[in-house]
Amino acid sequence: MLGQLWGICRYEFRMQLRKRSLWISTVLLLTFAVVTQGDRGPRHVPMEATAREVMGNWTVLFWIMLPLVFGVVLADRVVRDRRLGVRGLLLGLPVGEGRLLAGKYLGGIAATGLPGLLALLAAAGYEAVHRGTIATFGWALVGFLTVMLPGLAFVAGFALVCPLLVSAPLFRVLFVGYWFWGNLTAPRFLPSLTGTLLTPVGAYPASWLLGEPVMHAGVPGWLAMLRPEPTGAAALGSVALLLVIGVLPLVVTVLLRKEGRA
Amino acid sequence: MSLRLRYEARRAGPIGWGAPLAAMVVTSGLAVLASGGGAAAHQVDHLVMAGLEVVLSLAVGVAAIAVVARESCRELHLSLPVWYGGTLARRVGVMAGWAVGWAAGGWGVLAATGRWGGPAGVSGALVWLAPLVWLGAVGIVAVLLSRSVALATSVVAGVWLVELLFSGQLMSHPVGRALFLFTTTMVGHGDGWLANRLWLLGSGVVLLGVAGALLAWPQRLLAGEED
Amino acid sequence: MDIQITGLHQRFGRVVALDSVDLSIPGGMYGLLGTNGAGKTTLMRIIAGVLAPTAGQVRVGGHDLTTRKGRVAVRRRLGYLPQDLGLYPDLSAREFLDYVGLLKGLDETAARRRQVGELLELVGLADVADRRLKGFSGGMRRRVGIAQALLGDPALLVVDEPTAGLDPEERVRFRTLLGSLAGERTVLLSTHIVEDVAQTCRQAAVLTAGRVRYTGPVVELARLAEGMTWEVNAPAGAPPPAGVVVSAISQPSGTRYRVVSEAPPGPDAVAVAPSLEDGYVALMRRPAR
Repeated sequence: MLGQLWGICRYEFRMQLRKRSLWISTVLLLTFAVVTQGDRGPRHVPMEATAREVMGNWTVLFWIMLPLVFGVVLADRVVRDRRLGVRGLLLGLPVGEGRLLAGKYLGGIAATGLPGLLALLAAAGYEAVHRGTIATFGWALVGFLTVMLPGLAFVAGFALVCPLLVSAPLFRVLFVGYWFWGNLTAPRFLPSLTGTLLTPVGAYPASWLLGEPVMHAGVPGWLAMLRPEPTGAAALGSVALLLVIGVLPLVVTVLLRKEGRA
Repeated sequence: MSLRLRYEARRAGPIGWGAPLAAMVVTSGLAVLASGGGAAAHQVDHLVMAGLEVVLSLAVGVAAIAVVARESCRELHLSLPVWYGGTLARRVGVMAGWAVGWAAGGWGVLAATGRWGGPAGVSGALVWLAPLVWLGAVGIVAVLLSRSVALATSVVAGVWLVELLFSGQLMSHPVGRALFLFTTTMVGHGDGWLANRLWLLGSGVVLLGVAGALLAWPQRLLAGEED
Repeated sequence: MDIQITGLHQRFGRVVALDSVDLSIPGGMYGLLGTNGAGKTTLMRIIAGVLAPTAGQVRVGGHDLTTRKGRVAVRRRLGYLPQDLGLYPDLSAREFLDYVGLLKGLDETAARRRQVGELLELVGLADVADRRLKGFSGGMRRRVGIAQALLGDPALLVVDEPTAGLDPEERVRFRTLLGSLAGERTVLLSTHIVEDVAQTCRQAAVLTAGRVRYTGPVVELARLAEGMTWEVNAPAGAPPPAGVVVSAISQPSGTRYRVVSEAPPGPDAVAVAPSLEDGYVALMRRPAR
């Protein structure tokens, strides 16, 4: 069983990694971000800043942009089975819906996470030379695990499933709009999820990493119970929530598909 | 509507019809949310205008990609005496016309009720028309060049988000200022606004010309999209 | 509408799809045989004006396909059925044909719709004309494909692998239809199914690896295997005989093989009259010049 799951993951990972659009999009958007980074961008972090602060800034900068690529790329991974005529073949195989979807989910996260991780490590390498400390690599890994990975798990769950309901192109439009509204707009201006525990941009883990509130974490606004003080415990809570909620759409889909298949 | 145009309207598909409509629904929803959240009337009006300039242009950009990419009979089209570019232009044109209709309607309502915060008169249409044309053209060129819906959508989304988040950096540079999409929403319609709108429109038209030129390479089109 | 091809060379990056192809295709039904990847589809696309040739001369009905003007002129008199014909699932058969008719310049509504009705009758889809294409079988989709190719009464019909994936009955129906269409038209049939050419064409060409291996009458292609076609019985469990096995039929006493080889493949091998398939196999055994 695990062998089957591992096999599905591996091949999903391989297929997605081979998509040149994933790599080109990642490089393009990272270039946009690096070239136009704002006043708080890593370029402006003082030399005496710690490796933690430096890599925290890079993580935030990259993670503002990269989920756009990952959500867009993942949007057609499930729906394409029907489009390519593979779904019929899969239905005739002795593999459950749950395992299929789990394999796509985990393989997709691994494939889209890899460019993000490599980007952070590249930034860490640059900063290691620039600031003379290799601690940047360690903190790059921490940034990836605490900010990027949970956010990616959340985005992946919805990106794989929502196109089954609204079509991949429409999902992409709505997802980009959601990314801005739900993660980046100031919560005082518009009711939004920005700055809550539920933001895949990782407001709380990023605040823990940087040692100060960022991305509007904890700022009063809509859904006050999701806006605690940005502490380490809150960061952990946010990570856990993102991981759990990211899986929910998949669970619902598997249950519905199993019913349809029976 | 001519029969051919009606067929092309059907080819625009759910995304062609749905995306601009979704943009208007989202804009209206945000206005209602803001109003319920205690925003002042002029802030709500500004939000609606921002929806026309910001949200609708994103919807059109992504929808244009989908409309151009969504084709199951490409090889057959290339063997017909009618230029395939013309067929695509009709298809995208129908979608764009639909979006323009909604935008014009929203603009008209705001103007008629004295709540339009943008430039007065006909030039007010440039608030939403310029970014819509430009981002739509970028999407079309990106998908024809890359043959990848995901890549083209990422480009459009990336440009859109960068312009929203890093407006200060972009406005400090002459090229960035000339091609800034959301001038009305984020800066206002003072000096330089009209030049900005005209630059956007002009470069958008040039990009559409580039798209037409890309259609002269049938090998690329036949190679199909990245799956 | 004749087709004259001289020194045609087609390259995609580093891949040479067609190499020094010379062909003269008169009117009537003409078959183009070859293995998968031989360059047949590339040649079809060039003749249909979809692709411009990299080098060489291609003239269709006197129009020069190396020029855009020539390609557009040919497309006006062309009916094309591509190998991978996608259809719009949300349109009915009638609507799809009407749409293609519009794109072919059949602007007069009544005449166009009449033609659509007639073609649907011809291909046996009149009863399902208003059903969405989404629900059509593979054979039905192919028939829609041939119907759209016939819109505008084209002088040149180019059909690429029209019977691939069809059941035997559909395949026979298709062949008969194509054969009846030749008349005063030029019908260029590209296929890797030898039987399709055997049943419908008098002239044929064989392509391998982008080059022409044979052009001429179909009967002459079959004759290439004269004196080389054998039938022999082998006991159960015995290895196949030497040569190229064209067919192997299992029997209670063993296996009956049909073999193409220069020498008899066994002491009790019997020489038989060659079919087109045997001739094709014999041609493929020869070293390419």
